[in-house]
Amino acid sequence: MAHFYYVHFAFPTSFRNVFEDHTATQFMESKGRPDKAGGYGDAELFLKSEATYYGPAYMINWLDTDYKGFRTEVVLVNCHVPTGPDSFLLQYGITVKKPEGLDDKTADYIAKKYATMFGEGFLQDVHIWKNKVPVQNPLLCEEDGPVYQLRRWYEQFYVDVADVRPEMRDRFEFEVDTTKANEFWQAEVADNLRRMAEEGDQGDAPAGDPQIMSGT
Amino acid sequence: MSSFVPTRPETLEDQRLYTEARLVEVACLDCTATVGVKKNSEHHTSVQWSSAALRACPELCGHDPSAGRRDVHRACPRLMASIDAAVRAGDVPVGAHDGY
Repeated sequence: MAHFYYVHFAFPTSFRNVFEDHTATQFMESKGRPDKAGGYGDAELFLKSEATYYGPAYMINWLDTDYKGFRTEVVLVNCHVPTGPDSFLLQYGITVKKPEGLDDKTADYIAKKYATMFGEGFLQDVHIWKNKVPVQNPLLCEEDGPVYQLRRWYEQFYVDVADVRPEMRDRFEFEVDTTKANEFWQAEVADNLRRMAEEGDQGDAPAGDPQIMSGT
Repeated sequence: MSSFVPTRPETLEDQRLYTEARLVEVACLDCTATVGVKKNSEHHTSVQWSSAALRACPELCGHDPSAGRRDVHRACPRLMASIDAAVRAGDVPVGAHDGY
């Protein structure tokens, strides 16, 4: 949950994981951090994200976006093809709903813009994946989230069907009320904005359109 | 066996602690479903279903994730209300062992 704030520069306002049968889902709602991408630009960006893995091979991420009142739908699909014991080929594609009443040139511009922004958001995650290693016995605290439940779910794809245990597929729900975390983060962002105003800093990105978005 | 599957006794115990320990049975006030609930804080809830509980829940049974249902993440509101009632009654302890 917390990586949305630190990696994707968004406040997660609602967060749930549900593992059931062969699916693993993350539901998330967020709004952008005003201290990270241009003036108040990102503060007016709202996302509702439903991301479901259908087994380890592919994920579909439905995204409802609202930027300054302009609402549209984006779908990101990514898939993993194993290429060795410790490598895989990652492919992703992004589709953006064609807004009604706009000419093709404008619609094309919007589609490219959104595809770029969500593509870069996805690559923020990929950057982490490229720098992580499997740890069989991680040192966890409860706030790290349902790591063992996810591994239990994942294991069903690495055993023969006869050896799949019910708990690997039983429904499990994990919900975090993000109110408390956001109180802390809002204060931190307010501090950042005050410091940036004092230093005449315009933030990490030029004012205007949000640069990056992510629902995962 | 895959690299992420626990093998050492200490790791298996960790897995048990995080997936099974402190799960408190909560019965739905509206149907015969009984689930395992854990609350690490007021801001967190884990719900462990069984296939029998899922079959008993009129809100969630019959839903088929393979049909591509996008609302698989939605909770059963009646069960959530039952969990809230159990927490208020003091039947579900709130807090984590690793302290926060």
